[in-house]
This record gives sequence, structure tokens and C-alpha cells, in this order.
Amino acid sequence: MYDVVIVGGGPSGLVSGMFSAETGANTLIVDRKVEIGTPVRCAEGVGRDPLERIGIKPKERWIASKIEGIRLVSPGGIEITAKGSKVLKGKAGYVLERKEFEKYLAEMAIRNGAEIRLRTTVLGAKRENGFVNLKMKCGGRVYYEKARIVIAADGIESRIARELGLPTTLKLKDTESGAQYEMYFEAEDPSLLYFYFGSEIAPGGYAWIFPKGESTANVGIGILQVLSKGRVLDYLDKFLELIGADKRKVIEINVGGIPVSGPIERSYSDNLLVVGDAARHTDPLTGGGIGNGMISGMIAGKIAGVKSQERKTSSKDLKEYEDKWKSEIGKTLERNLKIKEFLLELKDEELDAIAKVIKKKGIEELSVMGILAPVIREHPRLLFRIKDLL
Amino acid sequence: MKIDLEECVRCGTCSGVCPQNAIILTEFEVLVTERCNDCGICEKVCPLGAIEVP
Repeated sequence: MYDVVIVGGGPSGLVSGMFSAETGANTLIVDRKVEIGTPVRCAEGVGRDPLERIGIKPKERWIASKIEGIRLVSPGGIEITAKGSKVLKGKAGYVLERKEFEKYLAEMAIRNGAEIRLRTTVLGAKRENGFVNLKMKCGGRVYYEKARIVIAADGIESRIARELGLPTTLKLKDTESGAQYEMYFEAEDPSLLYFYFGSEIAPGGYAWIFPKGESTANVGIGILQVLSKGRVLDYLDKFLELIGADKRKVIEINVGGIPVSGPIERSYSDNLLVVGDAARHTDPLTGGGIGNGMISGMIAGKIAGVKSQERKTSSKDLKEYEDKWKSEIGKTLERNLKIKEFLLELKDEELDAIAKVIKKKGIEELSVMGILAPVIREHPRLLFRIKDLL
Repeated sequence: MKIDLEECVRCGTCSGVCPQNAIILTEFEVLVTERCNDCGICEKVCPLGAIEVP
């Protein structure tokens, strides 16, 4: 019997494990893959703020580059660049070397006492007399493992929460299909993150260039398949042509889904907490999942660790988890979901009009509201719906 | 539904949208349980077009 079993060894699961084990709880992290950190399936960007909140100091080993600004490119090609301390206001971020980053998180979890079990899939989960019985498969061997509390950190799939009765099924309209090449690419300014918008380039999403130093970059795209005329890799190849990148210089291909539904209705029940992408804590506007996942993982790990040892594992005992993540990241998630829904309805020409205003007025701060505030002031009527959200 | 395992990279997106929670991924296989009713949602979302539903 484990106090806490965490299903999924991505950033959310590993941070859950770090904090659960730290409380002295007997903690196990299982992952279906053969290696922590791969495949990446992610643009690898993370803000400095969530790292600070979970108490992790940046290490050279897992930082590919420091972000000093952004460039937004509208459907009609209007470029807006914001860079430097005036807009950063301490909010800088990093492009990670995520394979290294996750291994580092795993080391921290292990140092705190957590166990890790790789190439192990959880086939099913059932509640029995106050604990959860997990049916595991490792290679050809099927066996069972018991947990007082399960933390579901199984990412986009989010199958474990559903096995235990919490609905997490994504709708098609809430699922971005993502594809990315890590490739040899010399960005004009490697300290910027580049975002490209438009219904031709990336229907229902955006395309990005996240430089990882002088000559390598993550070049990727997220689209809503329901609004698209083809497959995501075809859109990515077209984007490569647009930016003059050479497909023969690709060194890694990543493919995956990004939940943009906003958080699941309920993220806890008897013996269960749901974190990260599995709880749909991904930012619905940016698609960023690492930061929020680590924050919900930290909260879940602490609570699961303490409560499992106190044998207080009922739904009522675990509600604290939902209250806490809501107070940390709930408001931003809610607001960004509304902004996403608003932007999705805009035509390319309207996005260009907004881009013109932003370009004229300038970006005040590298945040969603820092970008949109000048537009709202200039065109309160055009954007009255966003204004209502403030 | 049929998954072309030569195209599939086990990204799990199909599993996330499956209304029956019928798709289980391991490192090497994709298990489709008898709950699958060929609704076809997974086919629409697969980033690689690796799924075919008759």
C-alpha cells in the first residue's frame, strides 16, 4: 500500500511527487514511457514566476535560452515587438531543455523519497474500502498496487480521473492539435518568442518560434482541427515556408494535443486529485501547461501527502485542493478562457485592426492584459466584451 | 476503429477526447477496449491522421 500514487511523470506529476514525498508520505510515480522527459510534445516555454512559486532555482543544465521579449505577427503581417526590462517588469521566462528539466524534477522527487516506475501503464482504477486498487501493466506483466490517494497527472489523456468517476472528456472544439519541429534555425533575434496568427496560418490557434539559443528553435503550430482544412503537419510545413525555414534541418518532431477547455468542473473526489493537463489547467489562451501544472502539482502533492498519512482521504477532506488551486491560478484561467473565446470569433481583418492599435500604442507589459489594455482604452466599444472581464 | 501504428506516436490526444474512455496507451501499444462504439471523434482529432473509423 502506498500513501500516494501519481499516474504520469510529466512536470505536474513529478512536482506532485516532490511535495508528496517531502511530507513523509510513501509516494510512487508511474509513467508509461521508457524515459522521463521524452517525448517533449511542448514548446518548452515557462515563466519565471511558477518556478519561483514552487521554489526551483534556474539551472544552466535545463535552460536553453532566456526570454527577453516577444514578437506578435498579425494575419496581415503587422509585426509588434516588445523587448527589454521596460516591458518585462521582472516577468521574464525561459525556453527549457525539457528533457533535462524533467529529469531534474525527477531527481528532486527521488531525493525527497519518491519512487519512480517507468514503462508502467495503469490499465484501470477501482475504489475499495477507502483506497484505490490500480491495475498496472509493465511489459507483459499485469499486477495490482494500492493507493490511499491517487494523483491523476496523465496529461491530455486524463483517463484515470474518468476511471474514478470525474468527467474530463475533451470536446473537439476544446482540443488543439499541435505539431512542432525542433530544428536548426537562426532566428532574427534569439531572445524573442515569436507568435503568428491568422486563419490561413493556424486556424483557431497560432504558430510559434521559440528559439533555443543562436541556431536552434522550436518551430510549431497549434490548430483547432474542426476549423482546419488539413492535418497539422501540413500547416506546419506551410509555416516553415512562410518563415523561410528549411525542413531538411529538422532534428526532432513533436506531436500532441493541447486542452483549451478551461479547468474541469471538479478536480477532486474520494481518494483522487487531478492535476495539470489532466485537470485541463493548461492556459486556454496560450496553450501553456507547464507553469500551471507545476503549481497545481505542488498543491496536490502537499495535500495528498499530509491527508493520506492522516487517513483523511474522502472527497470532503480533499476539497481544500480545489480551493487552493482556484485561488492561485483560477482567475487567470477563467479570464483567458473568455479572451480566447472572444478572439476565436474575430476575422483576420479584425485581428489586423487590433494589431495596428497595439503597434501604435505599444505593449505596456509582457502579459495578456499588458498587451490588450491599450486596445481597450482606444476602442472600448470594439472590445466591450473584454472590458467586461476586467 | 483502426489505428495505423506506423503513423501513431502515442501522443494520447485520441484518448483525451474519447467519450467512452476506451483508448489506453502503453509505451508500445494502443489498446482499444470493447467500450469503443466507433463514434469517430478520435479520427477527427488525431494530429497524424493515423486513425480510421469505418
